[in-house]
Order: sequence, then C-alpha cells, then structure tokens
Amino acid sequence: MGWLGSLKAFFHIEVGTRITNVYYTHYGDKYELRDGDQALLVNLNALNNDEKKQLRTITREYLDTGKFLLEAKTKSLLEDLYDYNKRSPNSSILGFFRDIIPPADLEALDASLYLREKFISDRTSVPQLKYDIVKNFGNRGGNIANLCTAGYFENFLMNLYNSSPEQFKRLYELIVPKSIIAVFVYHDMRKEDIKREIDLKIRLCKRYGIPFMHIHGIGKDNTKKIKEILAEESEYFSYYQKRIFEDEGKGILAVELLLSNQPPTDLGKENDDPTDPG
Amino acid sequence: MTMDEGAVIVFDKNARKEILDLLDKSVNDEGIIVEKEDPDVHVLAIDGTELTLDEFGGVKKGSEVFIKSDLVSLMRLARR
Repeated sequence: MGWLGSLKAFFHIEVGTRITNVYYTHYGDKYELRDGDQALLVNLNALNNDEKKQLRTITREYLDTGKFLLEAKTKSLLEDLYDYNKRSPNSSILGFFRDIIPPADLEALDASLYLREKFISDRTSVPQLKYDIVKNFGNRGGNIANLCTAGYFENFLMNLYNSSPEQFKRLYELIVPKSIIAVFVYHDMRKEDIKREIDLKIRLCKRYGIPFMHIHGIGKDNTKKIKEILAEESEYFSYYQKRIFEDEGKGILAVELLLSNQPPTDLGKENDDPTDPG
Repeated sequence: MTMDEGAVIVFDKNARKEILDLLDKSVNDEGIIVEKEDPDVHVLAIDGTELTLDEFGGVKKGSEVFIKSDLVSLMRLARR
C-alpha cells in the first residue's frame, strides 16, 4: 500500500484522494485536508500515544523510501540550492579562486555568492543567510560575504591576482580578515565609529599602496549616516577625489575615495594603530 | 510507480520536538538532540557534529541522517 496509503487509512481518507504534500504541524484539528485535498495537515499535538505510535511507523516507512523529512523553510532552501547548483551561475568565479585561496574561504565565498543572488532576488532571506555564514566562518566569513556582495572578488581581487600573484598573496590576508579596502556601514554603528574606521582604512590602503577606499551602506538609515558624515566632514573629504554611486530605489550607496592626496588631519578621534583595524 | 511517489512530508519549525519524538529522539537541558532511550548519546549531523534543536532541519534515510538547517550545511548536502 505504501506510506501514503497507510496515512490515508489511518485518518480514514478516501483512497483516491491525490495528496501531494503532508504537513506535520502543532496546531489545528487532528487532521485537515486543504488546497483541493492535495495537502494534508496533521496536528502532532492532537494525537494520543497509540496514534503517535502508528504515525511513527508510517513516518519511518516514508523515510525508508529515501525521501527527506524536512522543516518547511529548510526544504525550500535546499530545493533552491539544488536549482542554484544546477545553474552554477558563479562557477567561473569559484573556479578562479579554487587553488589560490584557503578551502574554508572558498566555501565561504561559495555561500556568499549564493547570498548575493538572494540579495538581488529575495532580500528578506539575506540576514539569516549572512548569520549562517558568520556562524560557520566567523568574522572572516562575514567579511567575505560583504566583499563578495559588493563585487570585490571579481572586480578587484581577480585583477589583482592577474596583475601580480605575489601582491595578491600579500594583500589578500589584509583584505579578507580585516576588509581594509572598504567600510561596510551597518545599523548599530555610531557615526563616530564609522569616521574612525574610514580614517583607519584610508591610512591602511595608503600604506599598502591601494589607490582607493570604499564606503558602503545599504538601507535608509545607513545611507543617511554616510551622507551626513560626508557633509559634516566635508573639509576632510575635500582632499580626496570621490565618486558616489547611489540607487535610491534599492537603498544602496557606495562612495569611492581616490587616495592621491594626504588629508591634513586625522578623521578618527582616537589614535588607532593603523596595523590593527580591529 | 506507486501513488506515493511524488508526495512528501514537511513539518513546521514549531513542531520540531514532536518530530524528534516520532524519531525516538529528545532534547537535553542544553538544547542538544539526544537519543530518547539513552540521553548520554548525542545525535550527530551529517558532518559528524552534534546538533541543537534550533539547528535541526530534518532527516533522511530512516532517521539516520540528521540535517542542520543553516545555509552552509545545506550547501554541503546539496553537493553530495
């Protein structure tokens, strides 16, 4: 009869009912048919011990067929990842870095490239995906996610490696763990923290011969903070050529500072050690 | 081909404890998934690490393969 036949018999559901999805829940009636009888909802809390025992047998029968028993969001994410792998939209980027960065960084980059795709198509899932990357790879993973989302791997690091593998090796270990080429403004950063970080990273970029430093903000509050800093510290920023890229619709702001001139004063209020960006 | 072939079972996030109970597992005081009959034995995920109730995303193959719900674990699973 199969597991689904057993399940229908268990709830006295007509044999011919074409159920395609079964949801184990913890609310509602003991069972309920929805979506034109295609979905069967089973409230596990409403079952007595004997019924749970029968359902346990049916569930094991289901698992023995080799299928997954997944939490609903996990199932959606896994299906999306199978589809993503099938399309392999970022295989050339991963292929480029495969033998030149540590395996853990490559895995973090792989996850970050997926996150970047979601950033474009479904931004609501991004905070959880970013959290997962940081949980698995620490702050280094978080930096990789930021750098990847902003396009630094293909637009800067690839070119850097192609022009000088030695320079790439030297800078990679400054760029990835410390993110010296960019300040990513996030929601709980105070303006003073942002100013200090901008100044610190400008000094680091100059020290290591990187001719630019970028400031990134996503979301209304973060982009507003960046604009206010540019206005409040206009004298400081007047010493750099800057280009501003803004997409108001998406709430994205990026500021490129070209580091050809020295600023007259430090923007940071504290005298940080420029070799330790924190 | 049976009529079962295309049908799947999924569960609500809030029903995770009940699912574990169906699979003869429980959760200890630290939130880690353990064998119901022997709580000293931690259940392991595919990568060989223990997993918490919060991390539990599901199972495969007769409840032998426990799956974490985070992006990195699922990317590894999708590549197997």
